[in-house]
Amino acid sequence: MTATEPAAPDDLELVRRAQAGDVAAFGELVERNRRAVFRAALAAVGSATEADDVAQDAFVTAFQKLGGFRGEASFKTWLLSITWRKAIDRRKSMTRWMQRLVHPTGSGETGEEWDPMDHVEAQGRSQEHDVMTSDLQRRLRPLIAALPKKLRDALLLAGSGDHTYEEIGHLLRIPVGTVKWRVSEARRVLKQKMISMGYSDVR
Amino acid sequence: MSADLDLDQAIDRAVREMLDVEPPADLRGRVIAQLPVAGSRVLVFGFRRFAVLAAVAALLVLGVTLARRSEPPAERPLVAHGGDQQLPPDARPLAPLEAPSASQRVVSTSTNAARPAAFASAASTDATVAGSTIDPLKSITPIEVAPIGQTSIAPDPIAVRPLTPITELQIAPLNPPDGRD
Repeated sequence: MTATEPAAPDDLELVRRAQAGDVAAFGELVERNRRAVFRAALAAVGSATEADDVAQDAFVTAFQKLGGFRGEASFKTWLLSITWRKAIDRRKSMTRWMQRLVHPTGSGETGEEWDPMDHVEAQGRSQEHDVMTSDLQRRLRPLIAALPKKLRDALLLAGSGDHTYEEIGHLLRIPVGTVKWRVSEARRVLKQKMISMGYSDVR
Repeated sequence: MSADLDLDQAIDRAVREMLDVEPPADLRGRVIAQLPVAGSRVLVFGFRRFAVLAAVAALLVLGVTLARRSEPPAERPLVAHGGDQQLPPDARPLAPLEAPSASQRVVSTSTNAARPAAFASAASTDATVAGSTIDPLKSITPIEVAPIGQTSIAPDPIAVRPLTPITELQIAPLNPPDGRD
């Protein structure tokens, strides 16, 4: 006679418990989804500190709105939608704040918008790690950051490996086909730039 | 073709590098710490709903009370007649009314809670109840007013002096201007 361990409750079961006021069940949902939520936020704001704030805010908001979750989409998709909206709001406020700082009179219409991604540093990585990273990686990072937002968001979300194309389409509110096109277009632009820089052979 | 594939792989690695940051380990703890505050909104909402209902009930009670007070009172017992004050000074004071019966006294000394019943009872028993607790009116001395004297209001005649005659003005003819014609 072998004792079988009870199967771990799925997200929906945990949601039902959390809706009934079980904080521990919601804690389990946080634990299961914290990486996907954090990385979605990071893809939008480009800063680990800001992404941490966004993720925390998104989880708290999700708990407050849990009563409105009807299970039409998966909990993860619903949670990521909240996260993405929060992250985009944060990115906009960061952009506005930086533009006011750079152009306090508000007349600095240079045609270029400040973008937090343009200032992404090697977050949480040591200098030694950067030395070990290939020259190509270091050159690609600013090129990715300089991509148009629509292309960059799709590329980063898809490249993180935490989200399916369907989830990304739900986040960005675009069809899956458009997501795939944007990812492909982002790659094409990047490759074109790399070839023009002389990186035809990267081995 | 191979170079293209290598570039694709390089892009994938670069993207993963950019997002290769682990979320802080205490994220779950911080979220949980905020949840009771967030959860209390439910309680706050419940309390607010209760407060609104209580306020509505209080307004209803107040409205009913005010509406009852604004209604014309059911025939109040006559206590005294205003015409009594016009009695001549030599008129006899009113004789005291008979003392009320025991049941009537109960009505007149009833508490606030029993007032509606007392009013109903008072209306049926008329003035005999209310009159029992009022002293007889004393005679009123008339006020003497001095007769009004007639005085003339005609104004004093106004004398107008004749105007002084106006002396004639002598105007000298103008000299013809030089250089004309």
